[in-house]
Amino acid sequence: MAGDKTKSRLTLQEQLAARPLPLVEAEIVKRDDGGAKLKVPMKNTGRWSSWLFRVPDGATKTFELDALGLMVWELCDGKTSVQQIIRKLAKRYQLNLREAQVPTLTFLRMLTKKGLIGMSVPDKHQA
Amino acid sequence: MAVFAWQGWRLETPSRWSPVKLDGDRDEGYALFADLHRPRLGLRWKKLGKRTRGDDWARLAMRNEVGSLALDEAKRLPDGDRWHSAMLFIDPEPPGRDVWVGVSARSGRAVQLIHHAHRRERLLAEVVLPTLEDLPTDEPMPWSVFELSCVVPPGMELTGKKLLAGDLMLLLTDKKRQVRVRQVAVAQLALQRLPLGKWLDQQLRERRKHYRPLGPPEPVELSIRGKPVAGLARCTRRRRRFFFQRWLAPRIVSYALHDAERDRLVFVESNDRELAEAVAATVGWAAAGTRE
Repeated sequence: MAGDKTKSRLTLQEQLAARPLPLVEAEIVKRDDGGAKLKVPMKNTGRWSSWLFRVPDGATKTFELDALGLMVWELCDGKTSVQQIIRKLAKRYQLNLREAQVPTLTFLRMLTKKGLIGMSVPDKHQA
Repeated sequence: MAVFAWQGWRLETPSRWSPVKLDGDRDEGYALFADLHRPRLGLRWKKLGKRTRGDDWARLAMRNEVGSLALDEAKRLPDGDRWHSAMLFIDPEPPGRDVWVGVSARSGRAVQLIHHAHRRERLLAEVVLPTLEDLPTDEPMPWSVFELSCVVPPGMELTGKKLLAGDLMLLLTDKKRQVRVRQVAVAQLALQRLPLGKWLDQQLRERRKHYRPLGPPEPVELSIRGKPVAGLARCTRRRRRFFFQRWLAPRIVSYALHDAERDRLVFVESNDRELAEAVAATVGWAAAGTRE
């Protein structure tokens, strides 16, 4: 559609109420430092392109997460809201809520862009 | 409650409120506090002119904030040791704004507190207002914003700030001395990325053009809030080719400390070693006084 913008039109309230949930089945390989490697199976791009680019079966993309990132990823379960994630992060690492909010929202936006998580936004008319 | 100390003001706010906008200097400025959802409190201050009467200013400020009709409902508070010309307006039908205006008896600065009340609560009058204080300029001046807090000698003014999430910095100067306090959170994760020595190098890199390091970093142990904290120190010297730039301090001493108790990295730099150590000793004073 002409003029369709891909930018999120959610208000801050809606973003905070949204519940992120994983869209991929990722394998988590934990590291000693508290971080982890997130192995995500690559999407099948089609028979011909797979043949052309020699993509082997079961190929994975790896994302490196630090301890903070891993905590956020594990809380993306479709039940915990963004606001709850921020509060838990702030409590665990003794951060101010605003200090926790900024990196959490940025990180979640990045995960959304990469197609790793989706946001379940509560219906405005509910309750 | 969280302590906020800025430009000579000190007040306590609910810990879920954070400053989201900070403007101005000691004579005139503005601070806006918000929680995760909406703005909650505005603090505006201004030094009054010699000919301005406090009462006139208070009525005008109140009228500008709440309008002429509501001005009649504002309560004039009796003058006290701390404030005079004070007026308080509590919105009878929230959501609305509760406003308090007053003139500090200590510095003569006029101050406005605007609370965005979305339901009937007496936060402004009963929680925030009693904690508002105009700090004396002839005593050590506390600063506290987000998780960064320190106390500097009297007369030092804020000349620079960088308040990023997890990386906070204040630069305070007077005529001859300067001190830069930086705090990085979370130390445990920051040290996984880079060891303390590299953090210190990174800190010095900003000034590499004008300063050269004198020797390797030395391990030090400083006292922060009375507890020993280990770290590194490094001296830098102004490069000879900048000898004519007298405004650049000839030497700067930098400390990088790991405050394990608060899980923060603390960097203190100054052209005066004693000042750096004195300020480092006070970093995190507000965290000790914070209550839920």
